[in-house]
Amino acid sequence: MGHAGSPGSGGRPAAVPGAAERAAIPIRGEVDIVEARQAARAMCERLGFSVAIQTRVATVVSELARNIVHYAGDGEVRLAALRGSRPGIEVVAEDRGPGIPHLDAVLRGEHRSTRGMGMGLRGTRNVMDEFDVQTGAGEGTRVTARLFGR
Amino acid sequence: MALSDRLVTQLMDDVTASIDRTGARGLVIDVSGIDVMDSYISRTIRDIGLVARLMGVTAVICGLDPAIAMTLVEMDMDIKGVHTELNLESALALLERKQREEDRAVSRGVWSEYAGEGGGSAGRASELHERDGGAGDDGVRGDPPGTETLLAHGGRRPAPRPGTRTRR
Repeated sequence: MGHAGSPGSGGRPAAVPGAAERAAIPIRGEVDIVEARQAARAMCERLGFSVAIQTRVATVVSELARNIVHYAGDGEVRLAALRGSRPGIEVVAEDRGPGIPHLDAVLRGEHRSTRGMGMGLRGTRNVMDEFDVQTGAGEGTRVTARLFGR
Repeated sequence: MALSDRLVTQLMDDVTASIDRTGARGLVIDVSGIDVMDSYISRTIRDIGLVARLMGVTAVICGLDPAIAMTLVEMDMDIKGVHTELNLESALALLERKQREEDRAVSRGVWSEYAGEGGGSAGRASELHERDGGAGDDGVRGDPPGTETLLAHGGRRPAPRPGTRTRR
């Protein structure tokens, strides 16, 4: 701080306008789950969202990242700030894993894996304003969820 | 605190081993430092409480952050079957209350009908332990240095090894 160096030349990226707008976190293992949810919370905080919403989004990101680790092995979580009449955050969790069989049953809460997974996806739908899953056998899965600040 | 999956699993192992070793009668799981309780973490925490209960230990979860409690409800993730308390003080108070109730029951001889039955898979042994509420530094407290064994009544089978006990 207070140093007139060029932005981004140091170890810590300078606060470039728009830097809070997007983030992509590769998900390859359990530590990345933690990193993804911390990034989500930080972005929500920068957007001025309440602690309740920060926690909700961080939990959702934790769920989605965990699904990637457990089911697909690796993938990516992308976060984007939504600027409109209502500021919001978009979470995209994408992998090229086996896809989700019985998606409808999962979302109805009728299907639970032995690990008890699946509750997370349903919970995610419950707490986010917009929710969409694209999945197919062998095609991978893309979950898109959006939440708008209040 | 950011709790990784490995840490959560490790916690389960540590807690059960610690219960076995110390004969603790109460377990407080203080989650006040946890940043997020997703379905995996909440289920594992709950499972620790349920396993502790099966080992004869009263488990209490405390310190749920308001935002986390709200998210758990909104996402339909319940920690059913385990006591929850607002904070560490009320959790310890609950354990003390339970302890007194049990001690009273013992002094009235409520358990005497179970003595002498023998033949249980772990033999027949009732050991009472004093819990001193010693605080660990890792958010889990179930490690009473002042553990006291009051009674070990053998059935027809050999007495169980130290640290194991059966309670009603």
